[in-house]
Amino acid sequence: MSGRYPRTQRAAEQPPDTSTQRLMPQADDGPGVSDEPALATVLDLLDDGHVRTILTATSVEPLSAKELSDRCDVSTATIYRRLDRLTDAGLVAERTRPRADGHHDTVYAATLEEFSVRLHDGKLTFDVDRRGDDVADRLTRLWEEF
Amino acid sequence: MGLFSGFTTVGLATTVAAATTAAVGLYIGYQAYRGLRRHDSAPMRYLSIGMVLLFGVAYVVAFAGTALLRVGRLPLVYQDYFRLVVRLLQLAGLLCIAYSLRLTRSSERTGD
Repeated sequence: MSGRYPRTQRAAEQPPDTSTQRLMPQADDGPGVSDEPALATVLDLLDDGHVRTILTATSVEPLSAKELSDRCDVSTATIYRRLDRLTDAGLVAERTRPRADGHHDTVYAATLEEFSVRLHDGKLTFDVDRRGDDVADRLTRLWEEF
Repeated sequence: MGLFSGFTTVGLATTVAAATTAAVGLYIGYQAYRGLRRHDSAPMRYLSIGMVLLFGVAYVVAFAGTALLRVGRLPLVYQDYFRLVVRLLQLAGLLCIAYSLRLTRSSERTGD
């Protein structure tokens, strides 16, 4: 019952002798955040117009890949490629949505709440705030799908 | 007869277990309430009301009633009524949770 959203912060300083490929040192923040995406991954994703459309649309309501492909006006293959990268980075989560015929659709919901970069005192840090990791969110999901 | 004079180890363990049950139940109820606030979810409203009735109100009434009966403030003739009130509170709590489940299923049908 700490914060409303889990907050993860990672140092993003660049040691002078490392290559640009290792811009993000794998900071060890303990269990649970070891799969935090690298800054480059997040920036790469946000640089993509379709990704931004997927994020904004799924932040309102969970949508299926088909619905997203209609909104973005691109093929479902293109949507799936982006959804894979977004779920890997933990910015979008898969959910199931029951249909009238008893089957379930896989839908996607944005989990990204806030992304911020801070430059201060020789250190560049970035934060990824997510929603849906909270106990109350998990209980709601569990109970509603019960 | 004092309130704590008849406390044996078993009695104390029972009280601790009951208090823990109430605390865990209220914690789940509290999380359901937070789920309601965050997702504006009707099933969570009834789940939280049910949990609070079941573990909060019913427990407090049962505890207070038992204490009053023990110290003799509440005549023993009311014992049966008091038991009925506790049972009714528990029933109301369970009905809320059952209703919450119904809401869950009907919201699934509309694909919401």
